[in-house]
Amino acid sequence: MATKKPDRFDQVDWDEFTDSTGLSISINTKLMLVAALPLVALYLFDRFRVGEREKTFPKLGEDLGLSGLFETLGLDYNPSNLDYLFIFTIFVFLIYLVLPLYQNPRMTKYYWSEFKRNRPAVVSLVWLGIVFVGGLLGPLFIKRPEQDILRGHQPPAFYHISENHVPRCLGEVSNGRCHGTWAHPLGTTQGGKDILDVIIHGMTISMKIAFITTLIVATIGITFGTVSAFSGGWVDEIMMRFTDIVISFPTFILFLLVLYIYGATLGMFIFVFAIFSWGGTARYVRSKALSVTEEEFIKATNISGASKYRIIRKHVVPNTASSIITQLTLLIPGFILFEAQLAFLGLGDSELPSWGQLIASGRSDLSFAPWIVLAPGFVLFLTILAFNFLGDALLDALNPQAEAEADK
Amino acid sequence: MTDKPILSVRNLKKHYILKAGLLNRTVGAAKAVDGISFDIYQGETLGLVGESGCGKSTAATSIMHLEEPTDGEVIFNGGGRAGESRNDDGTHPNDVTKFSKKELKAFRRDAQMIFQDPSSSFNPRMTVGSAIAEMLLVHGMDDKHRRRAIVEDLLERVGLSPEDYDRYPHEFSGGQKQRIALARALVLNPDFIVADEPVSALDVSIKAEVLSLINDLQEEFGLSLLFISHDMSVIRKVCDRVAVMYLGEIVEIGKTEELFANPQHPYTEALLSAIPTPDPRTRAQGIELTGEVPNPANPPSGCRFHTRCHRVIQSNDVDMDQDAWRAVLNFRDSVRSEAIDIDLIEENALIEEGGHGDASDGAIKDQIRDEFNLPDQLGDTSAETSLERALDWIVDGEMEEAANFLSEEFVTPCEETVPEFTDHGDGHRSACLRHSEESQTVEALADDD
Amino acid sequence: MSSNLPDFDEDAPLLEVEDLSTTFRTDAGTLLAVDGIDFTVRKGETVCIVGESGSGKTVATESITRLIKEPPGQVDGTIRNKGLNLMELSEKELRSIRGNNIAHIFQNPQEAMNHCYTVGWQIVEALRVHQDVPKKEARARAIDLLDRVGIANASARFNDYPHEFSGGQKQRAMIAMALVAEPDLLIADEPTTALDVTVQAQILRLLNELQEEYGMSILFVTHDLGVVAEIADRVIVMYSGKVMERGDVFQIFEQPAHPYTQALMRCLPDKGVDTGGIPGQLPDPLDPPDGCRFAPRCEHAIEDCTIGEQPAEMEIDSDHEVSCVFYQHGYDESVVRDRELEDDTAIEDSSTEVGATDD
Repeated sequence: MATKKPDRFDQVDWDEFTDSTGLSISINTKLMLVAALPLVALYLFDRFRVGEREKTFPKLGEDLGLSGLFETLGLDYNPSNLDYLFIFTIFVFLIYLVLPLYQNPRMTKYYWSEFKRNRPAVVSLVWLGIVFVGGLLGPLFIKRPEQDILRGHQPPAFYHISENHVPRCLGEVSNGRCHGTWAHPLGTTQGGKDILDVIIHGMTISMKIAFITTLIVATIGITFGTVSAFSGGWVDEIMMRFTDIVISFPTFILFLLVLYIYGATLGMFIFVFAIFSWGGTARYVRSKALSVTEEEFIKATNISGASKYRIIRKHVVPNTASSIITQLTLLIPGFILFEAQLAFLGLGDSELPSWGQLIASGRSDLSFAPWIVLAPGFVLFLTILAFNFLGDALLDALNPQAEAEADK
Repeated sequence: MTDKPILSVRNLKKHYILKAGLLNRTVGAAKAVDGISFDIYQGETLGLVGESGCGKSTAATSIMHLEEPTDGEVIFNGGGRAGESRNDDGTHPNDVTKFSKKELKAFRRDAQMIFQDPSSSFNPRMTVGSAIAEMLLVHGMDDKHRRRAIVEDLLERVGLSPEDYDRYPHEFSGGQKQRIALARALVLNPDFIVADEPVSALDVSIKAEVLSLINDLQEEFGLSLLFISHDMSVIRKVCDRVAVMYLGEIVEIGKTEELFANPQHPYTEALLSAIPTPDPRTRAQGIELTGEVPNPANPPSGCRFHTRCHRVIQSNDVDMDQDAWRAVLNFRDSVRSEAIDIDLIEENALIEEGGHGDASDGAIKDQIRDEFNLPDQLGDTSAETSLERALDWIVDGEMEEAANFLSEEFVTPCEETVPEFTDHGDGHRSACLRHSEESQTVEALADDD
Repeated sequence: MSSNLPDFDEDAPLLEVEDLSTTFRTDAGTLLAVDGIDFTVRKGETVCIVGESGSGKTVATESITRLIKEPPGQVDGTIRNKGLNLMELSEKELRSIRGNNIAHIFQNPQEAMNHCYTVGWQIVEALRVHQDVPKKEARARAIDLLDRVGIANASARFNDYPHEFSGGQKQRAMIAMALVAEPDLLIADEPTTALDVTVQAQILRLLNELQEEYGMSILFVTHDLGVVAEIADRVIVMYSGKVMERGDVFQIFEQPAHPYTQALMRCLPDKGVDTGGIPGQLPDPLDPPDGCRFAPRCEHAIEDCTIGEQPAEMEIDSDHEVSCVFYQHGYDESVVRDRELEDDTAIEDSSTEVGATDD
């Protein structure tokens, strides 16, 4: 380019641009590719190279000739299918939700100033942050608790129970009462599992439920809703009637059926419930998309000559997002609670270190070892409450329009 | 004006199909725009004025091809298309309604639009800068820095600062948003802009500011404008010519000064007298436009304005006060559309009378006359007899006969004949039957134009 | 009137507002919406409060019957309705005042009506709240009211739902509802802003007629000086929570004294030199400037305009007061006088609106 291009709107020679598409790949998409490709490669490797009884990372080390290095790093991790999906979901969450907050600091600041007006929601956010980080990193540092009958029924620190209930008291024994120790700050179960450890592993499970269901529900719901809204006519009609069927489907009965045939793994729980829970979201997205389409800025973008895909991707979906996020935030606690309820009824995977299982395992000892039920119950309660507070605050914070109108 | 108009609208129609019933059968059409024609020349501002519901916004979206018009041509000669002429088969290569996808995209660059509501005309989740820059991106300008430079320069031109690029819509006031909307409409350097009520949501002081900005920009870049408004005082300030629209049709068009000084159509007259005058000594005692715009799915026959017109022509055999004639016609229309609830009227008459049992016929009739502003005695004796007869029927509950009788007795030529355009010279034309009657002479005069 | 309130003093002005301040507590600090304003409304007159959006005019009128939500709002000052201090009344007594003595109509008739009931039912209900009348009579009165506010064929429209009414008709129905108790004062908050110009003309005419018929006073809030000229007897010009100028409608239109009033006048078509609006924006109500609130946007502003408090109101003619430094002792008021606006009106008189004259 020999001459400097004029930077005034009325001096642009539009003939230069006739062939350009106006579509470019955003930095977020590139990042997502960079992050997701190794993950997919690892998954495929796990799937086709690694045998049933082998562990993934040691095998990978072997194949790469880096076993020594892997061993010194302590990488002997064997991820399950659900783990891959979980990590993928975390990437999506970081790149499409957290990164944009960093990229648009003004908007973030505005959201934050709106959000922090709601004090309980800020506390909730902190709590959920703890659960998130604990769930993500906890299992890397804390071994999955093992059965050890001899360590059973240890009371939490600062608590003591009659020695009769404890097979072997690890703490101080005085006046025939066994005192708790810092080795097990929240005590142990009947099987001798450390409750704090189980709760931290339970965080992982709750986070898996939260993130993976959200990803599935959001993907299907948003796609279904926007396609339906923009197709109109009989396509819309068929899609929405199908949604009605999904909404009215007896998911619980299906789950019981699956449970008896295939067994109750966590993956199955997430999959079954997520697949049948997007109906409400789809309906919601559709109605929201239709109302956004009526806004003048959509007309203005239309008039700019932008393609339909661009309008949906850049204008409609981001403007329905706030309501979707709110709706999902309120959907997640339902799942977590449901998992706990199923576990309590003994309908879950009893090997799973989830909060629900922990509560279930403590129900028979409630009379002398209430901590087994109370500790996870309290954590569960706080988490559910936090999600609800968060959803409520997001509803107010993520709606700049309402604020702008109030200013008038 | 020898050069080609930049935009020629010919017989443009937009009908919305109305469907009803289980089988979605078509039951009619709302004729939002029903055959309008006008030209806009280079650098000119044409005002399109009318009450809400008269179809002016639909006209705009149809012209911009945001909606597919039902019929008619929109010939756009801007953006270097002026050389084209009509094809042999009668179609025009510049007809927007027949543009291909690619042509339409090019057209989007040359014709832009500004909307009414500043609070909804920007994506609340996009900085205003990127909202404007998006226009450039869509048309292929990939260079991010150049986009930013252009938009920053433009923001300055519409009276904002380059730093505003990174701000969000909620951080601006209504007037500022309308400036940004102007910038967005301008950024592709169009020849033609449709402004759909751009200032009606703004305060008076800001209104004046935005209007003068529009005027300045128009002068600087030689823009042509189609300016839509319901407010005659705004139209007067910015427009060179005005087209007055009523119920999907243009009833009068002409140069602004001429039309304001010498309105020919009664509707224009009524609109003009509705402007509040900024002078406390002349409180409007002008024409009061009663009623509302009728349903466009079922527009009145003949002249569409006849149901509200204060100058509605009396039939040959009657001669009465104009107000009374208007009231009689209104009464007739209500009877015809079965909008009279005789039981309720009777009840009211009874209470008014203060009696018990049944109200007397006379009281009921008085009540009816009262509710429909009918004078106690029509000026014309034979008309009075007819009205009295119809009232008798109504009191007896024989609505259908009353309706038939009234329809026969009271007829205005305005509902029977569709008025043609009459030329008043210098491009000032109006469609009113009162002029058509003298049209011979007017046409003769118009010949030497 | 079935009012069990303390006695009214019939000789006192209908409405006397003294030192009215309305503040709102927000996250960012205390927002001063109305800052110590006084005004009176006498029997049978129409007073217009005029100002831009955000000038506090709506808040001022809503403070009168304390429609302001408290908290976050807080209303201080004295408001006397025929000598009765409304600030000392209980919520229950206020409710009685609101319907019987002071009625409100609002900008947006769509939102002010209950869409679940027929228009007639709502008027009857409003009537029966205030007066103990038999249902049948209430209905007749309601129909009569609808008829009086210009709804054609009122008997049949009585049973229509609000959505079957057009915007103008809804506003008429709202006026009918406000009139049920024959209030002494009707507070109309931009009742025509959401309407078409033609419908606006209808409503203004209706208000004028009703005022003559009922002899009530109207406190009319608007930002449109054109509307003010059509309806007002006296005008109060508000800016940023303060009164800038007050006077009768002729004084305001023919000798606008405050630079702000003059600037508003120039925004009107056919009035003085077109300056293209008033540059700048309203001051931040959280942190109003020192001195005259209008000084930052005023073309005549001198240093004295930007110190101290808002200048005291000076009486420059009978009942014509202006809050501007230049009218105080020791300043030259001719600096801010706009001869052009004043001369302009004289010419305007002789050549008023064409088109309206041939009727």
